[in-house]
Amino acid sequence: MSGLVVDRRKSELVGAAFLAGVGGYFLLAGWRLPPPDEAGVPGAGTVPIILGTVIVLCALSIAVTALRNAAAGPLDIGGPKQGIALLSLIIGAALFEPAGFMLSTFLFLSAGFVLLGGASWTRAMPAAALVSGTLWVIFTKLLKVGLPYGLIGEILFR
Amino acid sequence: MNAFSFLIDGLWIALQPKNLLLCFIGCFWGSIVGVLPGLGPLAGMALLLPLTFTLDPAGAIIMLSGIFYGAMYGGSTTSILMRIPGEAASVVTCIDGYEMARKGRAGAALSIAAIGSFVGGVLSVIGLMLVAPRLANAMLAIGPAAEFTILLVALGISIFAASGPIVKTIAMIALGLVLAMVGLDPLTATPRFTFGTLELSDGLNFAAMAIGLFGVSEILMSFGQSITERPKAPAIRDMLPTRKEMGDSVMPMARGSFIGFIFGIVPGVGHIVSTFASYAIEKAISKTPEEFGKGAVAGVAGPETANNATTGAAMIPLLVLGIPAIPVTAVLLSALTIHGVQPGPLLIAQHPEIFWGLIASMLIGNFMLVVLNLPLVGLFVSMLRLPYGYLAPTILLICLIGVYSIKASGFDLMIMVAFGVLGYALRLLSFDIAPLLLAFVLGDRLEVNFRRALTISEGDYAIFLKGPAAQLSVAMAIAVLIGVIILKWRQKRAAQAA
Repeated sequence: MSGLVVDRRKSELVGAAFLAGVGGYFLLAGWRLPPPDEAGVPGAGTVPIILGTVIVLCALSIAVTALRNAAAGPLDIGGPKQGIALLSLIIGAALFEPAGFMLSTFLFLSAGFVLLGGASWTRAMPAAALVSGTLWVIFTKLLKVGLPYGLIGEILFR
Repeated sequence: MNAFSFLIDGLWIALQPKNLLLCFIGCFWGSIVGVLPGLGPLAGMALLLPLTFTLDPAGAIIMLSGIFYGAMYGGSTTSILMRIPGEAASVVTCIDGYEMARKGRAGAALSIAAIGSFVGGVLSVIGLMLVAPRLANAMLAIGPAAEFTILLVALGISIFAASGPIVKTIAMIALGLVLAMVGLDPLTATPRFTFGTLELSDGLNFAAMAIGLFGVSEILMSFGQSITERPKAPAIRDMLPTRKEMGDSVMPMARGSFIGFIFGIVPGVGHIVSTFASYAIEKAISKTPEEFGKGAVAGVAGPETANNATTGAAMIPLLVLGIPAIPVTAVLLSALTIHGVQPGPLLIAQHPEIFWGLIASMLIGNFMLVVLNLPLVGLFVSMLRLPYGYLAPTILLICLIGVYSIKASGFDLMIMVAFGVLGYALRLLSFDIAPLLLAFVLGDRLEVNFRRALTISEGDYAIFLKGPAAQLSVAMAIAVLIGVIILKWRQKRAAQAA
């Protein structure tokens, strides 16, 4: 990959902090769960407490290793294509139900073909419409999978 | 009834037109996902998981397992023609397969890979047929303490089999286990870690997690690996290996079948280690080790056979113990559970149509794949010519559809995206994410058995080492750990040498 390059050591520390946060949450939330009915017998919170502790300890170990490793070098975290793909996926997922399958996938694919594939809008839009329509027919008519209609689907297909 | 009679019954089920069609769809889709970089068998299976909801359990598992072993076949195509592994288990095939292609023997390499895959697949299915029923009978006698020990040992072995550093793998296993605890407590129905939301009370959606972790993150990773080479499909007349090439492949295929089968049974080890082990052994015992890396036939035949032999063997822990040895079989477990079928020692007795139908369909599917893959190499190669910028949005869209269609939940789409980002970040930081998924699948059973055992023993932890099953599993774990450590060392050396 050749994209945004960050310090690997700092990235490891961020990863360790994330893990410590997750482990800490499960540890504390497990602690707050109702205690077991009998002493010595594990309750609903016992296993999460153990696992939360393990995650926190692993996070500490990862952080210490990262701090000790002075020559960790750079870490390529990806370029604009990864960012575009991720952003369009988030928007596509958010619009999937409210806008309906046809509109959200048409927009998702058009943007993807242009921004990731380098196609012109005039080529991307018919291709996106074709793929969206084909997938709609395959999934809803052949495979009987329920997909959200949204406004356009309601007008065209219902 | 003996195994042969059951197999005839299984063939009767597998040869029904509907099941034959499902097997074909699975094998064909599997070959495609195996060929396409960025789509592995796990994402391929997870994407078609919703389709199986309308099928009977036998049909569902026949199709999904077809994807699994189909991907193993398909993965070798890109390895040989372009030195790009279609999926992780084909990495080793790149070394000598690509060198054979450069010498003008691409067709022969593809044929040897296909024949080896067929041999490994069929022999492992025969092994599965012989071992599974006996093991299932032995497993019926075990209680919650022994089951917990076996599950823990399975996860413990996956620590050593994972590709990342040990501490990071332990963190992944703990994270997978704790994420499995989101939802209602299975014993007291207390809501845990749900943030008061209804969507999380059923727990995290497995398919959303799996597609996010493996599918989305793989696509994000693949953007950096541009395919510049334009592969050319070899002509049909060049497909036949010479008599010498076939002769040189026979013993590597036999050894590869054995190695793949043994590694397939061990949870967490799977295809990648078995292929490296096969390659290392072939090179070590070869009379001409200097040919390895320069187009040695044994360097293709051994690993490709081991790769597919692992597939059949990986079904043993899944079907007999209910333990998915690798993430792909976790999807199969999920599919069976959705259909109300619990894999485990009782599966063969309670649902013989699923077990024997699957075995028979694997035999038929392996034959189908040899017939399919060689003539269709041209078609698969043409798929690789599609620009990734077009392919990636389409695959991401199929991921969205696949997740949405399971529960018609927009919340699950967000879970998929979140795990996609998490998977991408974890992979960049050299975490192996496969143990996370294995732990997630086993988490529920692990906790339930742990708590039940301690309730029975009134808090005495010694219960986990009582009884022959628990002691045997610990002894086996120690033996396997030693074996895995030695093989990891050899694998590293083989990779360095290559």
